[in-house]
Amino acid sequence: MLKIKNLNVSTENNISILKTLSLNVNKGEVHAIMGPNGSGKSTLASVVAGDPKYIIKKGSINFLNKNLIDLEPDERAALGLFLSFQYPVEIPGISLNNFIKTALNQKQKALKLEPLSARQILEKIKKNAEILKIDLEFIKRSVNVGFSGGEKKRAEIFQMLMLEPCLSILDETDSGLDIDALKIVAKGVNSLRNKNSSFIIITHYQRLLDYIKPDFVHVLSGGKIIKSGGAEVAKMLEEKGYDWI
Amino acid sequence: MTGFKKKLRPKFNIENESNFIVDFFPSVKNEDWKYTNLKKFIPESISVQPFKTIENQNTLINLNKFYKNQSVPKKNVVFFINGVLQEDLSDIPFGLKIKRFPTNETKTQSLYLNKSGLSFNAAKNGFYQGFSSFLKKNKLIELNAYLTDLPYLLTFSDSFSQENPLKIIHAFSNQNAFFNQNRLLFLIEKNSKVLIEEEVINFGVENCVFNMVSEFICLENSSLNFYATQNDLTKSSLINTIFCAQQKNSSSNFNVFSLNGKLIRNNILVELLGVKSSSNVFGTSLLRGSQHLDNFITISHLIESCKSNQLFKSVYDGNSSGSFCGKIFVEKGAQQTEAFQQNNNLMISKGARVNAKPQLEIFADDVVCSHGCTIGALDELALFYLRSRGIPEKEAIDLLITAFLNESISSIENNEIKTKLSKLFLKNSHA
Repeated sequence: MLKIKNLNVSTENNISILKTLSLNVNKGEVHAIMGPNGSGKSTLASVVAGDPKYIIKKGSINFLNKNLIDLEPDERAALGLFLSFQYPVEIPGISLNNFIKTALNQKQKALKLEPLSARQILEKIKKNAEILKIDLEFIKRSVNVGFSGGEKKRAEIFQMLMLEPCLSILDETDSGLDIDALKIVAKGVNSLRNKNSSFIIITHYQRLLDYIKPDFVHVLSGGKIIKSGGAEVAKMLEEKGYDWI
Repeated sequence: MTGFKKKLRPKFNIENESNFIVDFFPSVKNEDWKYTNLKKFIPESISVQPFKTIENQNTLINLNKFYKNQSVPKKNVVFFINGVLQEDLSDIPFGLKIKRFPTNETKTQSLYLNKSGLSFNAAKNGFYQGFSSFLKKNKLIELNAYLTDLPYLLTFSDSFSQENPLKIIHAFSNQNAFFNQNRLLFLIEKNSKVLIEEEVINFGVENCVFNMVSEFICLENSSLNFYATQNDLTKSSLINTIFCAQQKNSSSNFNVFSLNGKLIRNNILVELLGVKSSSNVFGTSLLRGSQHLDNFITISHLIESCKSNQLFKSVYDGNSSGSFCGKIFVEKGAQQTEAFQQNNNLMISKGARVNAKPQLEIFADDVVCSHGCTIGALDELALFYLRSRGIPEKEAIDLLITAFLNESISSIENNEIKTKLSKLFLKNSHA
C-alpha cells in the first residue's frame, strides 16, 4: 500500500532531516514508529501527508501504486490518506461540523460520487460521536478553538472515523491524553481497523500499544530506521531506553 | 458657508460643472483623505445628476431588469429614485412617517440634525469640536447639501415594529455617468426600536459617483439597527457619510458590508451625548481586482457611562487596496467610558495593500479603552490542515476567508439578514 524508498528530506533552510529512509506498509498492517525526540518522526508523517514546508531531495513515496510526491495534499487525502496532527490547528470561524461536512463532500466529489445527504452525514456523525463519547454540542464549536489537549486529539480521531481513510498516520495522538481518553482513542482506531485499512502510529510510549496491537515496531533515529521488529521491540525500549539499540 | 455662494453662482449654471464639483474634492494632503486619492477614482467629465424623476413605467421596467429573477421588494420598502421618494413603489410601514424636512431657512446648512429643534450641544469647555471639524475638512457634505433639495425626514415612532426590517433602496437611473446625491434625516423617537436595511442600486451606465449623506437622531431609550450593503457592480464610486447623535440610553448598531465598487468610502461619525448610550460600528468587506475601500470612523464619547465598539474585518485580494482610520474620542469628564476598536485585515494576494490608522484621543482618566489591529496573510498551517482533509486549495482558501469574516457576520441578530449576507459573501469568495 505505502512504499517509501531511500527518502531524503530537508527543511527550507536545507537542514537534512530524513536520510535514506525506507518503509513498507501493506494492507491491514499496523506499524508503530518510535524514536528519540528530533529523530524525524513527525517530518515523516508531514511529508507523506504533503506538507509543502519540506523539500524532498531524493527517494520515492508510492501509495496505492501512485507517486505521492506529485500529488497535492488534498489529492492524497482523496486517495485515502489521513494524518492525525501532533498539534491540531485552531481555525476560528469554522465549526467542526461544517468542516467535516465540507471535507466529506469534497472527498465524494474527488471520487466522482454523489454528495452525501444531510441525513446520511448526521447518522455517520452520531455513530462516530458515540464511539468516541463526543457530545454533539462539541462539534458545533470552531475547529480546535479552546479545545483541551485531549479534546483536540479526540477531534482528530473523530475526523479520521468520518473520513474512513485506508491509511491513517497518527502523530503522537496519545501525547497528553489521560488513561480514559487513551482508551477511547484506541477504541476509535480499533473500530476502523480491518483487513483493508492500515495505520502508522507514531508514539513515545509503549502504553498506547497495549491497546492498539502493532504488527511491526520501527525505531527511527537520525533520520532513518535503525531497528524493526514485532511488538517486543517496544517492550524492550520501554524497559531499557534507546541506548539499548 | 459664505464663500460658497460666491463660488456657486458664477460657475454652476455654466458648462463647467465638473470643474465646479472637483473643487470640493479633498486632496491627499487632507489628513482625512490621506489614503484615498478621490480624483483618481472620479472621472473628470463627471456632471451633476439632473434630478429629473424618470417616468414610473420606465422605472418599473428598469427595476424588474435589475432584480432579474428575484422580484422587486414590495413589503416594508421605501424606494428613492434619483434621490426622490417614490410613494407608488414604496410600502411605508406603520410607525414610519416620511416628509420633506420642514424649515424656513435656506438649504445652506451642512447638517440638518442641528436644525431639528432638539438640543445637541456637547459639553462646554471641552476639547471636542463636534461634527463641524469634520465638515471643515470634508466639503463633499456641503456639496451634497447644495445639490439636493431639502432632505427627507424619516420619523420612526415606538409603534414601528422591528420584526420586519425596513428596506430603503436608493435607485439611480444614470443615463450618463452622473454625480448623484441623496440626503436623509432619520429621527428615531423615544423608546422606538428600528431595523433598517439600506442598499444603493444603479441601473444606469458605469462609472457613476454616489455621494450619500444620512443623519440620525436617536432619542432616549431608542434602539437603531442599520445594515448597509455596498455591492455595486457598475464600477461606480460610493461615498457614504453617516452622522449619528445619540441621547440618553439609546443604542445604535451600524453594520456596513462592502463587496463591490470601484471606490467605497464610509464616513461614520457617532456622538454619544446622553449618559448610558452605546454604539457599535461594524464593517465587513471582501475586495478584489483594483477595488478600493476606505473606512473612516469616529466615535465620540462626550458624557460619562457610554459604551462603544468598532469592529472592521476586511479581506483584500488581487490588487485591491484599502484603509481603516478609526478614532475613539473621549471628552474631558466622560468617565466610566468603555470603548473598543478592532481592525483585522487579511491579505490574500501579493498585490493587495492596506493602511490602518487606529487612534485614541482620551481626555478622561477613568476609562477602559483598547484598540487592536492586525494585517496578515493566510495561515499556511491552517491551509495545509484543511487540505490534508481533502479540501482542495481554492475551496480551503474560501473556507478560511469565510471563517475570517464570520466574526462580524455571525453577530447579526436578525436571522434573515444574516443568512442573506453569509450567502452574498460566500458567493463572492468564489469569484
